[in-house]
Amino acid sequence: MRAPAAARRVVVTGLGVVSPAGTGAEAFWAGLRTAPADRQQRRADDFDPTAWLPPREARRADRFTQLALAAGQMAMDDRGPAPLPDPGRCGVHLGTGMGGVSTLEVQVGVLAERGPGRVSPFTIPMVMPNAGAAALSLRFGLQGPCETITTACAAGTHSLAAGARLVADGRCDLVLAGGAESLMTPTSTAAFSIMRALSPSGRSRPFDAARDGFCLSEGAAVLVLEDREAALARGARVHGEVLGAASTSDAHHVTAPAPGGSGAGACMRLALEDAELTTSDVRAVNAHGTSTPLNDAAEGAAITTVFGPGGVPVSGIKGVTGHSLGAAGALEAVSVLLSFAARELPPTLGTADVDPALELDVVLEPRAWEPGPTLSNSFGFGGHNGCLVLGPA
Amino acid sequence: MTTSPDLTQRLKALSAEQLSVSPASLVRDASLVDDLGLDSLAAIEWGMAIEDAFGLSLPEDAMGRVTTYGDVEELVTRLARDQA
Repeated sequence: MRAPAAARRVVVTGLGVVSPAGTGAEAFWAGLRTAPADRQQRRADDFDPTAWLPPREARRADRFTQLALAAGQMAMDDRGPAPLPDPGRCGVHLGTGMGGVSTLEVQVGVLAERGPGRVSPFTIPMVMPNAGAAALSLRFGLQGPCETITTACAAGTHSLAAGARLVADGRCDLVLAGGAESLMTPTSTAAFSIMRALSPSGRSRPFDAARDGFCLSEGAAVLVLEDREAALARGARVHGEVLGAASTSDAHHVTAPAPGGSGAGACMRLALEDAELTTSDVRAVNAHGTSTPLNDAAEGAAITTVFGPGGVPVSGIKGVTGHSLGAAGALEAVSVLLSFAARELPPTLGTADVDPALELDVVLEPRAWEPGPTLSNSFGFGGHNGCLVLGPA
Repeated sequence: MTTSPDLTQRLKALSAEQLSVSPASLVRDASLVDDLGLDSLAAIEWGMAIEDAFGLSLPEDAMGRVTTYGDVEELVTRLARDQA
């Protein structure tokens, strides 16, 4: 195989987001600074698919694909009217944990009640995890690589990394990248619940001493990634830069993190190496922070090992957004990019008493800051670790 | 072939909803593919909806052999008569 054709810098020229914290960048950022009601399940209640998809397309798209199309359209609108590059050099990398399982669950019911002759002929193209990526490629006519990574709750971060790599290596000039998830079905909810993963109190509180699980949610976020030189040449508004990324695996247990967060820590270090930065260059960490006892203990230990006790401000937004699984890393990347523009770190809402055992500087109130390189973490069942380093424009 | 006004009206309402098109576009010589945007999967789904609405059983590949909306109207009319 050939070596990469280029070593280019990658910038974000558009962003779109749908989340229980708000739809659209402005509502989302405001949402991240507003304490939510305690709810174990958090839907994007203000999302109206008919505003984003024609009726026929909406009927043939699982909700995770509807969310992806809305986020993708917002991102493209945000990029503005500049002509797209050669379609063969435009790609998609959209991650998801479970794809269209909501549709599958409905069709399982149809099969049981009405028999095989009434199962929808659209079931397979709606359920397949790559349906969201395919829908984005179709809508915008993007004919380069169009792929889906499914690494559970790390999928959004891994997809942003993979999309950025396509631009950095010179394969693509533009990539829509991010994540989408909606699996708030009775079966999925029961399954997470029986694992004791969900918060009985309905209060997501990352790194709190009293954290008791995550709040299941849905959402999608898509970034437009482009070659920095081309973006600057046309005077594009730039939200930030993808400075580096890394991926590691715990090889320890299918759901429990490795002791001391060793796999997560290794991933953070590799991402900084990829960005050619040292720990002292990092101005903030956007944590995975699911609010489960085990995740936050492992991630907290990893952050403290890499950066030292209280060595870096840590924000977690899942107290507001809930855990949108395969979309989470993409939502969090959007939050980092918006924190650059706002010159403010978002608060870790839901959290009141930071677990003293973690030795973390958890950002509890909105904090003014000088934007700088920020590490965004995602970890998934299967032992998947993904870290992204984003920097201001 | 004579068609029943009641059946054609019901078919038109059902088809407009299934195909997400306006009832006015459902004229007899409308091409299912070129004018109404039908694809093979939508045809299967439409066939299911027709079977359910009219209590009919469509032959396996019936929806694969029709090319205009008029063909569908005739098919449904014939089956409604034969299977009554």
